[in-house]
Amino acid sequence: MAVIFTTKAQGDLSNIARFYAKSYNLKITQRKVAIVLAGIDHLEKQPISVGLATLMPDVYYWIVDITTTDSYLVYFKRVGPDLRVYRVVPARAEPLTPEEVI
Amino acid sequence: MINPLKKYRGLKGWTVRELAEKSDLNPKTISFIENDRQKGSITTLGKLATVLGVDLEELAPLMDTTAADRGRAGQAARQAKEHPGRLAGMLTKEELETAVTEGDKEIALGQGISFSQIESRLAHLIATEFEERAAG
Repeated sequence: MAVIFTTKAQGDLSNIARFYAKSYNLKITQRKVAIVLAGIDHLEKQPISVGLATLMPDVYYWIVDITTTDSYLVYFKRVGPDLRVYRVVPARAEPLTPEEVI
Repeated sequence: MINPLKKYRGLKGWTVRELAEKSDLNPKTISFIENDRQKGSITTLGKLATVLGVDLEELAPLMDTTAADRGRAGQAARQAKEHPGRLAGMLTKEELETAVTEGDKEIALGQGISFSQIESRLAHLIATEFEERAAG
């Protein structure tokens, strides 16, 4: 089982890390980024039940909460045991177009 | 059969109010779900599963699976009411199909990177940012 990040998802995570690095000290930055990664790691371990699978046909999103006001949407697709992550974007951002998801 | 939410909350020894505070949810919502008076959205149950430390599947019997049948509008309305900012993440089926097709191409071209690789890349990036700041 593996989590695979696309180029855009890699860029998103780098931007998130840089954002926190500008706003916080080293320890807090590491903690914030670790929470985002832990949220994605937790998602990978979820069996993805029928309720979620019927919500959208192919790509789903998962919410990773850093705090109650600081959350990210993880766009992903489950392919067999693996998880493909397409984007990791602020939950309160503008809607993404298909081009932006890829 | 005991309600799974009530069961896992009981195992933690938390009151409804304590679980509500930890999960950032309304106590009434939790109470309604526990007493089978209301089904939970994926977002709500995801939060509860995370706080309780259980797999989402454990709470699947409590999930509102009729949303897809009611269509995107009904789902969107519930999501908007529960988490206004999170509605932004929803795409239409057509949009998603396009995204998946193009995404598969990207993966096929070998541009993906694994979880462990991204972890080490981010650790390196953060370290570099702070080293540069210290040097500057």
